[in-house]
Amino acid sequence: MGDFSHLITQKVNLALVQELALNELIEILDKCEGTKVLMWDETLTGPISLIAKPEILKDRNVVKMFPIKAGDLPNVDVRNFIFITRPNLQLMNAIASNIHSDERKNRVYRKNFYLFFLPKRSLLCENQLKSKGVYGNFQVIDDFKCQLFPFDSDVISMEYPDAYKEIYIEGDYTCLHHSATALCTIQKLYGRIPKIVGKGKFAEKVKELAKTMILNEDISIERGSIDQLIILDRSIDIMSALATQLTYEGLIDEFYGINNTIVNFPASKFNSQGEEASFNRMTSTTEKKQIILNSKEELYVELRDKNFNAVGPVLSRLAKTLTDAANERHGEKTIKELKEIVEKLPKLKANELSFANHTTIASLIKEHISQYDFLDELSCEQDFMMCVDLDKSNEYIEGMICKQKPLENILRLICMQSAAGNGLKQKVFDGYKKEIAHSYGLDALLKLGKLEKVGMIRVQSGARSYNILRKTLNLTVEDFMEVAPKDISYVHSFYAPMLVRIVEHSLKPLGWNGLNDILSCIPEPSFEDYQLPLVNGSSSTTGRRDSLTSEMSQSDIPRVILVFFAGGCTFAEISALRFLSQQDDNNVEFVIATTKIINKHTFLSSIIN
Amino acid sequence: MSLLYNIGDWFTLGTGNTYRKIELYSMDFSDEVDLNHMKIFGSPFGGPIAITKNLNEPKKVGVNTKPVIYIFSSSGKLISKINWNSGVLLTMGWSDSEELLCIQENGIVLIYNIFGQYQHKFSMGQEATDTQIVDGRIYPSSQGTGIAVMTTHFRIFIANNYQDPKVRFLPEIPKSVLDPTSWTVLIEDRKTTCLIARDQELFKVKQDDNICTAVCISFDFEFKAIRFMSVSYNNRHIAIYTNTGILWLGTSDLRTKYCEFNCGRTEMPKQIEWCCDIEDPMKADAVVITYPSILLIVGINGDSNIYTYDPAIFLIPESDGVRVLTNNYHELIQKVPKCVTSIFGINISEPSSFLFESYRKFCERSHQSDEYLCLIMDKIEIAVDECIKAAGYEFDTETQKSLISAAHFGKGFIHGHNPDDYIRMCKILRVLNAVRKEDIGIPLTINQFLHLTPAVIIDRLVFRKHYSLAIQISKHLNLSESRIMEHWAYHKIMYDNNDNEIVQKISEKFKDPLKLGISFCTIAKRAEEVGKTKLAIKLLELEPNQSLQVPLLLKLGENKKALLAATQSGDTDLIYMVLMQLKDQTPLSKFQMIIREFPLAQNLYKKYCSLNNITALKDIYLQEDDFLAQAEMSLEEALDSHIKLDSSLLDISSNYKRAHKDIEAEICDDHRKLMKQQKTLEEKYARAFHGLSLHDTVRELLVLGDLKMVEKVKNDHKMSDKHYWHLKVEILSGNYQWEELEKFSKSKKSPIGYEHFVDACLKARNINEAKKYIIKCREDKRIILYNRAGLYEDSAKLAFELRDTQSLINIHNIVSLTNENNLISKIESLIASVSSKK
Repeated sequence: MGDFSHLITQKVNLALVQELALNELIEILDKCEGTKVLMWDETLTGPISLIAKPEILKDRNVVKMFPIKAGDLPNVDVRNFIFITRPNLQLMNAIASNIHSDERKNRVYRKNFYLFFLPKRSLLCENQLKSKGVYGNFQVIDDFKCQLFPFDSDVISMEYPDAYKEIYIEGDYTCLHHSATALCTIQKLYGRIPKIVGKGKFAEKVKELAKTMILNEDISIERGSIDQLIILDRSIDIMSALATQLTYEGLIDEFYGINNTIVNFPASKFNSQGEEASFNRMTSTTEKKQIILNSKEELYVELRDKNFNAVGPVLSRLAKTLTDAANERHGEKTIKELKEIVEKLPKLKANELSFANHTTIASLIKEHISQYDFLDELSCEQDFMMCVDLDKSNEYIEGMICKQKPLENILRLICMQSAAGNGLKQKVFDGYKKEIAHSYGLDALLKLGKLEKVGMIRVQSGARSYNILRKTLNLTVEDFMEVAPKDISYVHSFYAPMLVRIVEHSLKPLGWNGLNDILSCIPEPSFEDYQLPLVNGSSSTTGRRDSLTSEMSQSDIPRVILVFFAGGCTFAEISALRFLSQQDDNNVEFVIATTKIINKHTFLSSIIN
Repeated sequence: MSLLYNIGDWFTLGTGNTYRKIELYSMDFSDEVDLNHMKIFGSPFGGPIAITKNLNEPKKVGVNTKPVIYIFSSSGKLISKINWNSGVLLTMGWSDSEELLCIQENGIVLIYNIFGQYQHKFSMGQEATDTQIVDGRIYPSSQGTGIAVMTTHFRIFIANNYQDPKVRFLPEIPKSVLDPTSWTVLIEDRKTTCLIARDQELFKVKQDDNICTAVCISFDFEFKAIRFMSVSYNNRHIAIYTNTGILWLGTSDLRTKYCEFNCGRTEMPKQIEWCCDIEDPMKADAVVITYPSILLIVGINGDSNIYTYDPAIFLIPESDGVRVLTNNYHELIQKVPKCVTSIFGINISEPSSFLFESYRKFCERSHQSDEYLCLIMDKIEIAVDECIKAAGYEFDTETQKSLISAAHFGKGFIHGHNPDDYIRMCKILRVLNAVRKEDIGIPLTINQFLHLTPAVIIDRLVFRKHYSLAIQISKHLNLSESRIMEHWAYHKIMYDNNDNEIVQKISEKFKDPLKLGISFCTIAKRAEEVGKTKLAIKLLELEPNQSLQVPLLLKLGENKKALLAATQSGDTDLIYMVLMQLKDQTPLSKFQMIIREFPLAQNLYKKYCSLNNITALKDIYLQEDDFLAQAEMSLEEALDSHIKLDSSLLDISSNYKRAHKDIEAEICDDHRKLMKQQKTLEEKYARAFHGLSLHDTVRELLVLGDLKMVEKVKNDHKMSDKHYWHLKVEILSGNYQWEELEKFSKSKKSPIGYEHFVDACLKARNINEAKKYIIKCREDKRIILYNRAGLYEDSAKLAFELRDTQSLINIHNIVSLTNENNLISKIESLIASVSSKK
């Protein structure tokens, strides 16, 4: 069934998510007899690669795959065409044009069309097909019920595009409903989660929806393998979404973009590992080196969550062991020793390759982060994190505007200033607006308007909650350690992402209740809810696993907590959560679920574009 | 060993293949129905039987030819009568859900339930209607029950599922003056295929194929035309009957011939059906052929038996046998299962046979019981299993009882016997016997029972309104009673008239609908279907799952309730569903008023409009006094088409102002002025200024060297001094005008400091120029700037002066990566002296 072994290392086996999705896919393919062509919504090919290997499709008589594009269908002599898409009106128009062109060309033996919507059918899309007059041309129109894509043994993402924009700009809560459905799917797979806590208006909405949905589903009320669910609104902590991530994985994502665990680097930077350098490689500069980053690779597991400053030492230590191992191969050896070495060779080879790749990647990253622009921008955002000079117009930002640096970078910094100061002084805000309009024209007004609507830039009002929380939650740490960290703040050098800090605090003996006071300065609802009837005293024979009150005393078995980020989370936040679970005294395992994995670029551009 | 138990009706076909006839019911049709002039259409799995006047008999002129269709149970109980009142009826058949499909000459298929109630109809396509059809077939397809019709032009149309009829056309056979002599339908690779015979020719046409293929089969005997073809229930075998009475038996792909058999008759048989065996399908299958008064059975090895019957004799094929129906009785012909032969066969010495005998002797209190038992003590488990199995195949309850008792007797001698099979069989037998009883009349074999599954059987009972039996069986087999309850509720809805009472009764019975797996919504739907709208709404209110309520509420016209339920469910698709319908049904102004109360719905409608109908969106913004949205929308539009921009800016700015966005308004006004100036500039310089920002306009003018204009534009638009300095530095350094730059730097105290000067020089890689400005910077910044310029020596000196050990160490770190050993040692000594001084 393909190689998805990396999904199975935790108590909660995420390979089940993969299998569920794969079975859905196979069921869909089996609805169509004979050889077939798959037509994909391009945004889905990445996520689908996380659940199905190409061989499986081949086994199901899939001859070829193409992205959906308007115009003629690709010229393949196959009768059956299966479209798989997210509900997207543009793609409906493209599909309709495909069908019209087929009708013109093949008057007698037309193709058979199938259409599947991920994660479910959409009325608007179907109406669109009807208005284009092709609705009746499909043999089957149905759902491809797949909400979750497993990224790794502890991370699942819905890969829902533009969730934040939909909720905050358009007021469209489709994503919340999908999130709730996804949480139901998780509970169908792993059993009911007894306790749900969370913070934020939309987190609460997701919880409410999921709770009613569960009631209408036939899920056993048996307690499952997940002990607790924490739902957090992205909007509570914009700072961390926009902050530059300083972990290895986070930096790779910010500079090269990790899409569904796949990342492309300029191939010219990579040694062609002993292969003969082909002409192609020599001549083309656009060629990409594709690397899959997941926990299948031992070295990557070690590096991914580290602060970038800790990556160098690991690599040089490894360089030493590799040379030692290589040296070991030479010199006098007994037959037995030789045999052992030969057995180790393939692994050694893989290690060498992995080492070479990561050395190259690290040097690429190093190049980027040594740029003065990067460093200046970083120090500016770090000033904001420390709440330095929030009430003044920031000189660095002004300079950037006057130099017409990329607008998105500027807007990001302004958002951070606003987040740190709970808004900008009216004068400062107006000044920025004017300067930006002078540099970038009226177009920029619309982008500013969107950020204002979302509340990411606003005029100062109310208590400076960030600054309060910075102290109460100890968000900026003074004696920080990047290489051998003692605190999650290492992911941004000295700044701890707030949502993860909240999770960390909830692990303490006082639990979620203890947090409520601290979080009261954020004007969003906080909730704590139970999905199982509390066991009453008389039935104490059922054992401690059933008793919620004794939960805290179970110190030997690690608790499993599902953390759901409504609106996206960053790799740095994932790393921080992993760091927490590695601390023995926490005794916890996390499963991280998110609407999408974001970084400072993708998050901002999904809102303003 | 031979036992004279019910083996009187056994017969053999060749060696070892024993068949039996089991009398199911004795039939007593009413006087109206004399099978001699009738044609019957039986449903498999012991289903109902439709009987009507022989449709093929020539119609008498002047006589009312509208036939009557009688529907009987398998035990001969009249269930209903249909007075046919529609077009010319061609043929009929039963679907897998026991609905009667009646095919008319004009290609219309009418569907009735077993109570003769009309359900609905559909057409087999315009061509079928236009050209009329000559024959039709109803067949089990891969997707349900299919219908195939042949038009008068001998073109074939099929629909593989009558519940979702998608009519397809099969390839045509080559044209000829001859008419087809016979045709049949079979399923090959899950695809519907037709075989069409035209005298000696045979054609195969397959769904999704483009052409028909001619098939050749080899006959030893002479013949002129193929008259009859019949495919077995499992689609594995085919029988072909010729005008000369030759029967050709082979595989349905026509590649393998089993045998040819001369029936010795040239008359057309009435029916040919396959009698298949479940246990050993290839060896013992046989064909049953009927002629008036004669029943002929031919095994695939060519062995045959002939029986004389009543003149009217009809066959109903089953998956594991053939039922025979005459005016007086109804029987089943099937291969005797192996386990039954092992017990009751002649000269048998199987362990099960001995066990049975031992038990009989035990009942007779004879000591021989022990002797029989001793013979088989080592095989007693097999014997018990076989007795249990054999009981399942028996129709006679006494035989069942004695076999089960023998098994019960035998299992006492087995240590640690697992009784599961025994218990299961007892349970099944009770159900089988109950449904076989004459008043129910469903003569299922155990294999059919297992194939259909108990749930389907309960459905069928419920449908026939045998509620109490259905409930008893559900309880007996530990199955959910929800479907029965639901059906009961439907019945209440149909026949009770007091709405409140119905709601009360139903909600009483369905206290925990989720656990029962019942949805109030489906029940409410039924109420709506029979026109009881108020009742439907009341029932819907009981439904806890809001998303299920929505479609029905809409159908009932309760739009506002539907919208509320949809928004509460959070499912945006449902909200759209309500919105779309609401929009079509209500005047726009009222529609807008309604959705105002539902912010989520209003947001979705706005989003919908932004994709489909911009004017409608504007309307909403106007109505809602949303000035900001109006401004942003027109700005976006105007930016897309640059021509409109200057004309709409005034409007945009006033909307911004009304939305209390004074800065935005001011910016728009300024931009309008700028555009005017740009126009004059365009005329003056004959180059494009349109669309440039203030920054870009000033830059363009600087490049052109029009300093007067620069000054004017800059002042008119209050471009900040800082902004202007940045721009100027950028342009001067970009053009390598170092003297100019220096002059500019000295024109007055720089409002932007001198770091940007350094940056600009470094960007142009002019380190000497950069040095000039570094000195002007603040001391604390200089070290970094020196470093960035690569002037490590200067940087180190400065750090030394400032006693900044940390910076010195940093510099050392950077420099130690190079080969400049002199510098390295110099810095080292500086570090040493700083630390010593401390």
